[in-house]
Amino acid sequence: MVVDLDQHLKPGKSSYVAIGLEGSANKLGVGLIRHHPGQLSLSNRAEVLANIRDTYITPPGEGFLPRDTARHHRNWVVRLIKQALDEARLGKDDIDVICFTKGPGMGAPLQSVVIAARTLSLLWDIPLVGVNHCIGHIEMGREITGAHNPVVLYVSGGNTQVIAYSKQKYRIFGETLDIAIGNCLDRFARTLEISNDPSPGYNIEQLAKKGKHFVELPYTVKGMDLSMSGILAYIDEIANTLFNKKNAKPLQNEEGKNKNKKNNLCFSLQECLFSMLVEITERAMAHVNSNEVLIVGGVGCNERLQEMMKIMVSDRNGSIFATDERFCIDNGIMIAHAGLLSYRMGDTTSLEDTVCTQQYRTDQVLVKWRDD
Amino acid sequence: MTVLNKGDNNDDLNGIENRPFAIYYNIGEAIEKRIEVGDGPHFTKGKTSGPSDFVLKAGIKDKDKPSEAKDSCLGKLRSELTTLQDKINVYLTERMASNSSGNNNEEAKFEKEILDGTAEDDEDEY
Repeated sequence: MVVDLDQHLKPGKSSYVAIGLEGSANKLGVGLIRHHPGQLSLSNRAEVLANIRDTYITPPGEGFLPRDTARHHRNWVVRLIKQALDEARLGKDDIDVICFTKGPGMGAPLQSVVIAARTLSLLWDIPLVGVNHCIGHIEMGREITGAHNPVVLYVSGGNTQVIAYSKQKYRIFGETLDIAIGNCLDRFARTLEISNDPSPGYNIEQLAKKGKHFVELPYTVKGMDLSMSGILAYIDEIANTLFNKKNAKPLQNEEGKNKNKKNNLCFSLQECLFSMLVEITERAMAHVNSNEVLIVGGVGCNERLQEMMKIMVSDRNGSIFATDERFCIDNGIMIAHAGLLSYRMGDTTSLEDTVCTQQYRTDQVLVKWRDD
Repeated sequence: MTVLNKGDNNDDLNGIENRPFAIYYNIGEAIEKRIEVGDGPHFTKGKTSGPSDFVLKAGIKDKDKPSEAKDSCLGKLRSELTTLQDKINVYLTERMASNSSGNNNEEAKFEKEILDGTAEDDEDEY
């Protein structure tokens, strides 16, 4: 059955335009997107009009505090919105809907962005749509790559999930039982006092490329789920022993000086974590009988993860889909895209329902715009 | 907490004549505190909305300062709201401080019981 996405096209308009505001963590993103009437397809693609991002960066060894991240978003959001409108050469009258991240994410930064969205909605008299951040990643990934019905691996600083679509919901097949993979990598970067610019994960990836010796780490897949906090504690202890001389305990299997390098630790951590992800993704593919994998989320930019996943998918004669940093890392365009799909199905969020929520699971959203 | 402004919702807010103010009330308490923006001068750099102490101590250059207010209705409203937010923050902080000092012993005892259990709980364990 084909869903009718054009029941709410305004008279006299030949397309839909949405602005999306994202600020669930340390990235503030503003995006403008255009949809033409009809089903989105390879011949009717969404048009990215502007996709701007500014990141709150902290010094090496430090994470981002909610209060300071919220302040960053609060003081930059208007400038970014103006910049995005200029880049898209659009005015307020061109916009059909204002989309914002409703959750999941950090409370204070989410709050900064939703206040901007509410203010614009009242000033411009344009409806609001609250968007689930994870759904934004999935829908933008599908749109950019053209993946039809993939198993989705969503890997970011706050989320690690293996997802598959069924009956108008994105169902979670497996997920982390404790910390997210991006959080694990970021926290290890803090232990090593690696720079947070442009991102700790990116810098770990660059060090890992130089690593050659694998240091054995715990491998903690639990059925379809995985756990990473124990791995982090273990490798933190090794790093502290080697570099910081805190909590010092002698290494049991010290084989040569190369193992004592940061490169090898970063390499080993990536190899171990990514192997776990590949394993549960492969199992999800077998469960749902799919041969497509789509990787989304900030960690999805990691070339080594893409490479390892590709090896597994090739063995199954399947296809792997991934996006570059414009769409992998948190951005406003994905919120605009997912929000516009929802708007086209007739959904809007009333002002009193725009309260953000830190916990908002992927499978709580009814995906009205799909019925396959 | 409610922040009110009786201006129009038009583009440049030319209709604004009243100044923003906030009313604090708490269900179950006979309090209704009205917070006025005051005479000013008002700035967009708030006294309570700067970087956290943690960031300041780290010696970071503040790249995220708010821009100066423009000489327009919206700019004026923005700086007035910053003053109002400062006053709200100060008021709420004072209330939290007075509440915690008033109920300190009782709350601390309750919290300890929740976290550590009571003497009776200990007896049950053995």
